[in-house]
Amino acid sequence: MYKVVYSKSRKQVVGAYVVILAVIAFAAIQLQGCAQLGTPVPQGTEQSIAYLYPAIGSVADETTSLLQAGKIKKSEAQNVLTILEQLRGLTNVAKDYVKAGDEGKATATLDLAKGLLKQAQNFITTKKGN
Amino acid sequence: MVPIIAGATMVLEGIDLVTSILTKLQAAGSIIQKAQSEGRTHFTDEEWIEVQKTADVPMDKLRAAIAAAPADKV
Repeated sequence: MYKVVYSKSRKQVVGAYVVILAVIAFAAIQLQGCAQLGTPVPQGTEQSIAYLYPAIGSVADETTSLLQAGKIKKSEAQNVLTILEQLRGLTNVAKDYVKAGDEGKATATLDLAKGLLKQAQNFITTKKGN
Repeated sequence: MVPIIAGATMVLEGIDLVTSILTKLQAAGSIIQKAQSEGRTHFTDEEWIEVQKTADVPMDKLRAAIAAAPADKV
């Protein structure tokens, strides 16, 4: 009994820590960069877009871990993957806009993509707490 | 004794996952750094491919995990 309760608690702590760190790291880099991480401050929309890709990858890794640990259903993992595919597509659209010189549309698409990323992260945070 | 071992496991597991996130961020960061050091704000097509891999490789792993997972119990 003790072991089961402890195991669940451990996963919650580790999971919440990782998701929070991912969001904070992404936000810190977007806003001011972080010398401790060795990552440069993005200059312009194109470089801000570039940091979305590792954020997508982190959510995909977390979802894989949750699925393999039996914490989420196959259908739920599929739903996250669908969101990530939409997010990946939107990020590409933002990239195309910025390459075409349309900063306004690129920024708007980037904001939309960040909203989707937050949805996926919220889902994972909820599942980590179960 | 058990809490100590479990605590150490938690820390190691946490470090492992955090390292995974940081590695991805740094992969993109190093490409940005290179562009900035050359006075560019734009990436070459090859650099974009490298950046996109930080999303594509984990997404492929997720697809494989979904394919290998048993069907949901009704």
